[in-house]
Amino acid sequence: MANVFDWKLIFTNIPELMKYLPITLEVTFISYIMSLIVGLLVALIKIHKPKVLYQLTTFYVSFTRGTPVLVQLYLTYFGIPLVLQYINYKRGTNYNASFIPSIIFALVALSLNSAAYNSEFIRAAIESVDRGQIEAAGSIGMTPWQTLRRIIIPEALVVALPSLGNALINMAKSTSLVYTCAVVDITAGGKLIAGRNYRYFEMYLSLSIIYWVITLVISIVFGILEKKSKVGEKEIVKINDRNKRFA
Amino acid sequence: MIEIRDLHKSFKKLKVLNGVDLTVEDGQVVGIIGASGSGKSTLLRCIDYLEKPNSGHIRFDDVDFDVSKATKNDVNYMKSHTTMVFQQFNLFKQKTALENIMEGLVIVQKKSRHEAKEIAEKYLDLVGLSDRADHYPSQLSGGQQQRVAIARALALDPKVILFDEPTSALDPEMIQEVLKVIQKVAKSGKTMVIVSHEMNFIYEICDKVVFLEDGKVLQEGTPAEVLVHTDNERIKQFVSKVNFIETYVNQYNI
Ligand SMILES: Nc1ncnc2c1ncn2[C@@H]1O[C@H](COP(=O)(O)OP(=O)(O)O)[C@@H](O)[C@H]1O
Ligand SMILES: [Mg+2]
Repeated sequence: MANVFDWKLIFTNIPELMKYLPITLEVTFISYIMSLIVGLLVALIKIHKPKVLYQLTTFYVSFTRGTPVLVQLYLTYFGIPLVLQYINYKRGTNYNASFIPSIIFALVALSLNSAAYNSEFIRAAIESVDRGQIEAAGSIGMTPWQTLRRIIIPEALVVALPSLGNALINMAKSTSLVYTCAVVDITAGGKLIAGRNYRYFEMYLSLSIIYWVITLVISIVFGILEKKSKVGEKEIVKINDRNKRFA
Repeated sequence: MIEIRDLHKSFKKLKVLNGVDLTVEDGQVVGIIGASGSGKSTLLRCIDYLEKPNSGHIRFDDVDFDVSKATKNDVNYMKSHTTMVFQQFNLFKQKTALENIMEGLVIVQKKSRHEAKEIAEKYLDLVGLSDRADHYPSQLSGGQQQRVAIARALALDPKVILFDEPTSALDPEMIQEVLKVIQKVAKSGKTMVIVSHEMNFIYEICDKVVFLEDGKVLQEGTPAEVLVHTDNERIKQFVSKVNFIETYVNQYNI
């Protein structure tokens, strides 16, 4: 019976998995940051509706949300080399896809996938910023870019914080699929290690624990950020509480 | 001096300004009155270039341009030398009173934080809110928020300050504290254009009153000419409706 399930392995696996953790974290954070930048651009396009770009982003968002991320990873992994070949053929250049580090494919696919979802809550958050403050910024002479950076984004950030936390949690979990692009993260590494003794179940339990801890840490950090971001709204909350008490 | 000639502004098919002429001399306080929807706010917003007028001519100190051919320079000149005080205060809600005033000084006028802070403190003192420097807008009453907004506009030292119904969103007991501050600013020689329904205040404080109707100037003149001695039936009717009572007139002791 002892051979069927070795619970100690669940914990002894973890130190060995740690050497793959930097890759998982790297992919998570870089893709996350890129997905926010692209998401912001897409959100701005959705709000201002410039002609051709708007149709393009509508197509991009619809396609991305309508196809599985696993398929998108494969599309990127096989697609980018094809595109390079085509460019080489057309232009007579000599780019070689095999020199592209495989992690790049994973970063591109994951950030583009997540950006499509992020664009929606980023748009909603930006549109929630009171027009009056944007006008006041314009009236004191701030440029649209200064207004975006100094007034709109900080305020939209507060509104978007819960969604930003969810997006990071989803990103951390999605990185478990990067083996499709030949990137060895903790999941891919775990499979390699488990292949030595066929203790796959224990390995997946170890992996679950690591992912769970990562997402818990993210939740806690965002919880703290949300509390801190309520600056300037303190008094309103207090007054509301008071009204509730008297109600 | 601002000289506006034949200014037109439409929103799609709706014509809001139909050839407005307006002259504001340096140091002058000009009141704009008229019924709701007559285009008062739109006129101020066109001067601040929050809205782009469709046609007309603007001369403002160093610039002199046809609106339909306005260059980026012309527009920037208008924007940077005019500042608006809004009905809804529109303070930046994530910034303290002091930071609200510093924002334009640091970001637009590129002053050092140290210098900006000194200027901001000076103007906060002018509106009597030194003790509220670190309060966020949500921690201030409406009247206090509007006083901070006035300090924010003043600190940038624009050539003209535009007030768009600065007391209309306030509870009655806060109106006076804001009007007192505006009056103080007017006395200091600042050029101002003010839209307000506080007729007694307009009467007291303004050098000139302009009555706007359907996007056109119906009459302009001294406060007495427009508010008391007008022959125009439409203006008489308007003034009687907004409770302009001459006996109240001296409460501001100008
Ligand atoms: N951004 C806008 N889009 C469409 N219509 C507008 C806009 N701003 C103002 N209007 C219209 O222009 C008219 C004049 O408005 P406004 O200048 O605010 O008048 P007032 O300040 O004198 O009450 C109103 O009929 C108003 O509905
Ligand atoms: Mg108005």
